[in-house]
Amino acid sequence: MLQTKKWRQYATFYAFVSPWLIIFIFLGLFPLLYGLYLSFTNFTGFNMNQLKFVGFSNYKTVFLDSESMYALGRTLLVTAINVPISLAIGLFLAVLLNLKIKGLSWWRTAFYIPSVVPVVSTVLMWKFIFSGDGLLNTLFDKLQLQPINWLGYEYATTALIVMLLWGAGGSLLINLAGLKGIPADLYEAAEIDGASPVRKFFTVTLPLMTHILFFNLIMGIIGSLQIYIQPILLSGKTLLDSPIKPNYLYLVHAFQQIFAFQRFGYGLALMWVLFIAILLLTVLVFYSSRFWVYYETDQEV
Amino acid sequence: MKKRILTSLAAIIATCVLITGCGASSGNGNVNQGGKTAEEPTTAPKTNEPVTIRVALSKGEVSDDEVKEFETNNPGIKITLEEIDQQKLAAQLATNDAPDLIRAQGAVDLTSYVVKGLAMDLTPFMQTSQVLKEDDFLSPVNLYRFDGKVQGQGPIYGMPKDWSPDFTIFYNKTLFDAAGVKVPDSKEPLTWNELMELAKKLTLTEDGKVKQYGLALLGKTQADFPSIMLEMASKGVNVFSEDMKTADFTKPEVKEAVSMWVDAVKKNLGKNDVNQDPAAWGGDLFMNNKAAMIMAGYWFSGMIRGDEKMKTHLDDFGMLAAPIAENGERVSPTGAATGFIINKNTEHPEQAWKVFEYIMAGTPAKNRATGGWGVPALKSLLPLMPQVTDFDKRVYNQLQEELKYSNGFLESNPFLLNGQTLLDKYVTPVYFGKADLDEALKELTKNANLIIQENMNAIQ
Amino acid sequence: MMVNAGINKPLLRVVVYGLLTVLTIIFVYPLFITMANSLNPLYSLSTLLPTAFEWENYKMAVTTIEFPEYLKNSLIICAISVPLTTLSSALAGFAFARLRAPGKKLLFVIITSTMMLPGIVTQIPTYILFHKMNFIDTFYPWLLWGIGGAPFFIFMYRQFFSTVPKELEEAARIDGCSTFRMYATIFMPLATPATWTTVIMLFQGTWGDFITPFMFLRDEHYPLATALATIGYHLPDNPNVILAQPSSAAAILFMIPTIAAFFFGQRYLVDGIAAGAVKG
Repeated sequence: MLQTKKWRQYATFYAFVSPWLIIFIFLGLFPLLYGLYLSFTNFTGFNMNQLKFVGFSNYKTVFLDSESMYALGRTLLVTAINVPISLAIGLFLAVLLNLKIKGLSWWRTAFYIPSVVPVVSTVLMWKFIFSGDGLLNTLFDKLQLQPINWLGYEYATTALIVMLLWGAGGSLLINLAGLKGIPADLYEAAEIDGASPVRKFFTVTLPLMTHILFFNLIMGIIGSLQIYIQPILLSGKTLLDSPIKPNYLYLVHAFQQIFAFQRFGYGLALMWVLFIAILLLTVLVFYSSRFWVYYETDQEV
Repeated sequence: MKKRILTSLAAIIATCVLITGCGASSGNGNVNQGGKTAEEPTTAPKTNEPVTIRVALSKGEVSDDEVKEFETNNPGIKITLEEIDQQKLAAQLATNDAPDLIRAQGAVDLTSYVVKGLAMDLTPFMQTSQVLKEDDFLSPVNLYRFDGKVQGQGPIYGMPKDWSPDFTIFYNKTLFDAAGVKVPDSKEPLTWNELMELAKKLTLTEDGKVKQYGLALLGKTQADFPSIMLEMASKGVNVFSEDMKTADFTKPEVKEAVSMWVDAVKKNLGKNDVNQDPAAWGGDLFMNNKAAMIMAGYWFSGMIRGDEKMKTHLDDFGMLAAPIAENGERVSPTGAATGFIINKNTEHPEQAWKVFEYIMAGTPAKNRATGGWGVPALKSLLPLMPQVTDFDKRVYNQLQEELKYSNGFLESNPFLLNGQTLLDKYVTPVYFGKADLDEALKELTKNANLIIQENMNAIQ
Repeated sequence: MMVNAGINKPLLRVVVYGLLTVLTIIFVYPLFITMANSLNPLYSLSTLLPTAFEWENYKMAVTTIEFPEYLKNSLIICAISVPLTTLSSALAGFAFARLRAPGKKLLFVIITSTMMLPGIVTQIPTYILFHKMNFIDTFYPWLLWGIGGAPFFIFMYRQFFSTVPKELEEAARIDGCSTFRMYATIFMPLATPATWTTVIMLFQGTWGDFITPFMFLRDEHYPLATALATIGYHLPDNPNVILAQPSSAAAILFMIPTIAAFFFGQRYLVDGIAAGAVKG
């Protein structure tokens, strides 16, 4: 009896995940393995019928190439700054927009606008804001401050991060949905205890939002390590233009080695190395989650 | 319970089918079946079904009206236009699903298409063609000849739809007057140093801000790959070895040319990485009276001719010869020569050739010539070019002068595309004083050689 | 509900509304620049404020390219993709949050890791696959991807479902509910905010995705995003000369549906678990 119940649950699980699983095996696994195979060949985009197996040579190049290591360093730096600040901003905005305020839906829409603007338009707008006589420098001028070469060598990465943070409201919806899921009686109980708003935030909101923060953290890391369009377009006009060196991020390197210089094999190897790096990082975050993420059910992942 | 899940899954799938019923009915009768075409005899199917010829281009290069005209006159052939993109082309080539006509640039990537075995040898077609005749070709057509070693010789793989000597200089006399500088004589070309000196005088600042730039390029006024190759051509210096296996950007002549551009950035002669002018391209600066000169091909006269504000004082505009190196030879080549090749694996070579002929000598070619957006590839079309206003005539006459020096080609390497990307990558730090020019050129050479080598190995 | 007691104090109210205003300016201003640019005369340089009102640019935006056709394609792709992906992601997310089975951990690691590979890795192999199936230039790929759900939303649903109190599940089980009925009648209603979040975000993502359609469709089946990003607006005679002002106008038009979807969709972000539901 107990045994059948257990088997039933297993079957239910697999029935529930089967749409994903079937499609994944069919449309996900094959391209992945094929991509992996190509990273071990001298593929240049045109020589599909005369591919040569080159062993680990592309992977060796990844680690010997000073550019890819430089790019990885810059990417980790951008990620380390961008992700935590984005997380904080996202949560702050959601809490602000969960208050009872007049015209709530208008405020929310305004805050959500950055995540609706297509990447290319976003970069164009910010390029204009950052430019020599742009909005920021005009503002600095009014405040009697020295103008800054935002897209120059010293500040290009700062400019990139500012632009990325502008889009931090992207997690707004998920955060709002998370806040809506917090049982109201917990706040009522806290109120009866005479807790201040700040205390309520730290004792009720924050603990009950950890599962959402955890999700945003993982997604933030994955997304941040894969940035390439923004840094390229911040300096250039097309995706084959070279970004300024401090913004030469890892995926920029991979993308341009593939599409500007036809080094497909090497470029794919670069991406698999990044994949392993992200995977390790994610496992680390998952491991740490048991110490700070609150779940109702026992999670064993 | 399981039954319920199954029914719900069935429901999901049923809805999918319903939803997509309208969407998926896309008529893709022209999808190539598998990749076996290469071995099959390349004869057209004998059915009455019209053959579709796919043309990869930049949208606008052939208009919908022109397509319609062709289809009316050739009932057996349909044309579909597709936006060209290297990323997509790689996938299409991997599945033998590439378009029949592919946009190419004679001075940039033609040789690379040939070494990769993607371009069909058009010599037999050319020999029997009624509309495309060799003695009617202007010299840039030869950019589409390549014998595997030297460009300009051997079989012909395509031709430019139109072209321009791309290094001529357009001036705006109003801004010369503002700077109190005389417009130089258009008969004799300026040397690069003279051009830079002139640009310096034309660059005016007010309260530390640039009021007008001296010299705009289409992109940024900084180390520009084609311009550097032009200077090398004028000097007779080769960057690539004869066997195409190596590149050397550390030659003193290259260094001299690049440092001239580094200086141009310091002197703020135009939009560059340091001043971050937000103009989208150099043309925006020129069209808004913010740059006294712009280095651009003949086609740029079309911009001036068509602009409402500039139309009223066309006498202020004109074209100067392409600059030459100090004591260098006079050259005025094209930097692009955009045109088409025919995919070697096309299933319908006869029909593809018909479309090719139409684009190169039919209505589209005539429309391009009369529009004044480029120089035709055929001598017989030259008289169609605009010669109405004094401006038209002035530019046309200067163009005739330039054509005498347009026989030469800029050096290129089939295994190194996007030299500009590479150049920017290593030279930009120099503008900011973050790298030494010698070091930058050494890195540039090293990486260029790496790319050349890998791409070479891949096809052997 | 949470800090509402505080907001009644006048000083705090000033601070909150002041903050909202400042943030709104920061978030909306860049969009305003695009709007200003969309109304400037052709070939003019970008400005901080509009210098003219050239509504002609908007007319050019919809007439110089086949705007209505591209719009239709966008709608078709969204109609296939959004509902299917939502349904299938919720199903899988629920299973990962509430059901036990061997291999579950491994599958979850696979789901998360597929998000970590940049799309470029699988681009060419996927193209080969769809080409073999004769799916290039059809909308069938979106149907399949829709059935397969999206890792991002499977993960998100898992996070939401895993916080639903156990008591609810136990009560349902005592009532003799089947798992699917429990999922459909208890868990899905509770996840309404998550579902609307998914729908809005999926719509926004599908609407804005230009690379996928670009790879697998040909020009006449491009959705708006792809058409604007690849074909765009340039002089008919010279593709190098980009017309910035109609492009900006098109970008504004392009954003309206997603902004509207958010504006009207957010009302469904209702409070999930009402007080007392746990006891009931």
